[in-house]
Amino acid sequence: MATIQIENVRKCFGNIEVLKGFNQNVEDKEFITLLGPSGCGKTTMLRMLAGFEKPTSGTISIDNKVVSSDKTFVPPEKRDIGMVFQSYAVWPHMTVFDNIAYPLKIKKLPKEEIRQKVEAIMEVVHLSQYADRIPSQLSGGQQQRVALGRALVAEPRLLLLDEPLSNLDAKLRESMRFEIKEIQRKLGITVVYVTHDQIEAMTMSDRIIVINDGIIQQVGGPMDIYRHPANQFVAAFVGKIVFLHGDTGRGKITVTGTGQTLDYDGELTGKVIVAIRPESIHLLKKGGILHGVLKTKVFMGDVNDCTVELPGGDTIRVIAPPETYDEYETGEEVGLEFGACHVYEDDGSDVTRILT
Amino acid sequence: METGASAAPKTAKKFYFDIKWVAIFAIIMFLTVFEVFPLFYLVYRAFFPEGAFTLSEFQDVYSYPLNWIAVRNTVITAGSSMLLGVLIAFPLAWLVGRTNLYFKKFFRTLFVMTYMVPPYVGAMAWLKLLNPTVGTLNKILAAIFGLSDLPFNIETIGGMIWVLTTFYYPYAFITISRAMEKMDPSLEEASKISGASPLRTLMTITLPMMAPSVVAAGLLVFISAASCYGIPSIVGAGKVNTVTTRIIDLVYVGGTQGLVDAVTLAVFLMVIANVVLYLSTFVVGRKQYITVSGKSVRPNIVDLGKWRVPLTILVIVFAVVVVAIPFISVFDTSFSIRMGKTAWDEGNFTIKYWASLFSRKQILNAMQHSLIAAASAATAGIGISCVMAYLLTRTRARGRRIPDFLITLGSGTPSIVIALGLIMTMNGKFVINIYNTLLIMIIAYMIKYLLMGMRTIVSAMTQIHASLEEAALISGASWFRSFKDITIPLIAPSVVAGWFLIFMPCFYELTMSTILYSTNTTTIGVILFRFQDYDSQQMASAMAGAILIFIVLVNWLLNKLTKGKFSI
Repeated sequence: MATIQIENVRKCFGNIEVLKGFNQNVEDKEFITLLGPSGCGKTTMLRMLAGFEKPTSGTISIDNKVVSSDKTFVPPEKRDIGMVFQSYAVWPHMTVFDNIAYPLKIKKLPKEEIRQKVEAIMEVVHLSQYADRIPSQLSGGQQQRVALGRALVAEPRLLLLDEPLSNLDAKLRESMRFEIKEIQRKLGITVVYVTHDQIEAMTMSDRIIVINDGIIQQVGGPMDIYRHPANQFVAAFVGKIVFLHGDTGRGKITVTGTGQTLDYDGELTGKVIVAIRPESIHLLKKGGILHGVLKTKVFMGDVNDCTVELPGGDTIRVIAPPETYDEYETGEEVGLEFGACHVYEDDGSDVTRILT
Repeated sequence: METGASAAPKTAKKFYFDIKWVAIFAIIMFLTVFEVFPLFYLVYRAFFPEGAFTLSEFQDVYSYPLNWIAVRNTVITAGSSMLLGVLIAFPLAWLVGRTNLYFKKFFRTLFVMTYMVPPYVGAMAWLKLLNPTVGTLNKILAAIFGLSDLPFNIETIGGMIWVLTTFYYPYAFITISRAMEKMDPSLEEASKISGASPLRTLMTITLPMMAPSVVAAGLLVFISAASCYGIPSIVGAGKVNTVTTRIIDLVYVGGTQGLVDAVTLAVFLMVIANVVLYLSTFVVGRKQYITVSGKSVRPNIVDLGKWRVPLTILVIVFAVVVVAIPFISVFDTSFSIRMGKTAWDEGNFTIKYWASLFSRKQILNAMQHSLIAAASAATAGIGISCVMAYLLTRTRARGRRIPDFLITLGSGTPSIVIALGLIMTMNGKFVINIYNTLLIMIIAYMIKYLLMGMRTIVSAMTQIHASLEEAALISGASWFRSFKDITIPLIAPSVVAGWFLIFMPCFYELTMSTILYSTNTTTIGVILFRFQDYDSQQMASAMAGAILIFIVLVNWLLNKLTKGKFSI
């Protein structure tokens, strides 16, 4: 129902530039997530989409109609957007019904139509039996659903969600993830979702925009981002990662400090960094391309979380299948087999440099 | 009041962003004309009495024995009340706020409510109770202990300290209890879990954390006591002078010389007030460790154990001596034909003074003036407070701190100084002439009491997360609609409370009114004082009794209107 075009958007607060040239398009009915650590500028970008902040420069269009630019500015109340706030922002002096009905009352819909629409949306967010409660009588999860209902009731073309799950407990967070995704699919709306939680981003999004320090680091589908991180920052921020420093030469990478080598057929020369997911490293009784001593193992149920110390003192993390917990003892000499890994040029400093 | 903030929005409706500037500018203009300029002029007159700089005026005024003794008395009485007030308030606040004392909710309401009682009521009561020749309590004590002389004389420095303390300790009590209630209990729990005993926790955690609030509370008592006029004037009865009573005497002496002398003496009050303001905002204020957290803080309650009953009795005795006895005394006097006896004595009971309240033209006029002035000041004041609260909490408009500072300065300036400044500048000498009008009083009241309203609304606005308003905007509501549907209903109780917080002290205001009134603009405070000093203490007591009843009623009404969220 809505597409978004963001062109060269910059935002400064005083002398601090929080967004440094943001360019991105969002497709109709797409679920897109702005992912990044706190202070990276993702919430600022969302608030500019909503119209609560004005870009310092650049243009934002919704459905190819400019809503923010040097010349025009459409205030939030005229943008036809639904939004869920991190703090929910459920009005404490109104009942659940009145909270959800508010956008329709503003539109001056007939009473009966308001009632029908609110009841329908309360069904969707599972609040039907709470219509007359006031927010202080609701749990956090229920308040969150009131906020969601209110954002959806006017059938907005675009739904913005600002870390909506961060105040919920782990179990509820998990079920709400699927609920939000399901609602989005059912209603067929465009969603822009802001979070610092990579699992939320992975499970819900069609595409993820990873942001750090006001700059887009990578844009892609969840699998793409996870399997082919564009740089060390993305690799480290999305999922767990092990970095090994090394030197290339004669088809091999010598891992610094260990004297051990990996095979390498890439084009990079000189100092490099090898990035590998801990679950792509396999423990072996014998053989393997690297050797070390098993230092710790933690049984987590679905996995066995281990650390292995390499000769030279560096430790690396290995996420092994659960049965390995019984098969290996700490202090034991183990071999390590590597699955898919990435090799980045190591210039000693800039981990956020985009390399693709 | 053409420069008032209420006029600003109309002229600038088209400029959405400029409206803030217009509002800020209007408030600054108002405060500059009626607060800053008079204060500067006051200082100017003290140093340039004849138009040329000289310190001779200073030398003359402060070397004159009567003035010099008054300064000394002020420092002694205010300083002692500060110490005593904090020494009483701190344990009281702790007992009421943090222990399982019996009836603590009642005590809290009682002690907070005495804050709203005009101090001169206490002075009237104690003057009657501890009069050196006929004091009621004096006689009773002499009879009980078989003394030949009456034990106490209220018309001394000691007597003044006693009355000042009993009527200004609530200021400290409120400040300290608020800080105690806000303190995160987990800080103390962390100390206990580290192995500290309750006493050790009190000494190393609670007290140091409270220290800034205690200092602030003490400073507040000091400046309030130093700038009080009602108590020293009634209790001192011309025998013990303070700076405030000397200033009023000099104003009544009149003439240019009288005014210049008064102004020169007022500079002393201004200086200590500014020092106190500086200390409490910039030195102590920075050290405030206690921050309002979003979580509801439930302070952990100390079990008093075997001390529970004795301490409750102690607090009851305190409440009886400090609250019950003086208030009963005021009512007793108001029903007595002859002052020497109580109203219960044979043939000494009358209701004529109470009846006069509703029939005497002089009193009815004063009541009308007080109501109009107080209601106007409260309404205009709350309007400015709302605008200021919005500017301070919801915008980053440049310059919004300037009116905030000026309002704080006004509230910190002693009433007598504000009134003197206004009377010397608003008499037509500098274009504006509102001398002898109600307007000059309304303006004086606003400058003095605006802060109370502003603080109330600012704290209410701070608690409303900005996203509540943003949620309305994104729902399609205009800024105005969101203000009407969301902001106003949420701050309404605070607006009501803030209005009464300005209204009440203005209603029975004495000090500024004493300087600013004219025969056509007498107020309750002025008339009551005149009765007390010259005509009939019974009549004055009846008025004071009516004020007390009014305070209780307003408190009850406020509690109803705000659904128990607020009381004074």
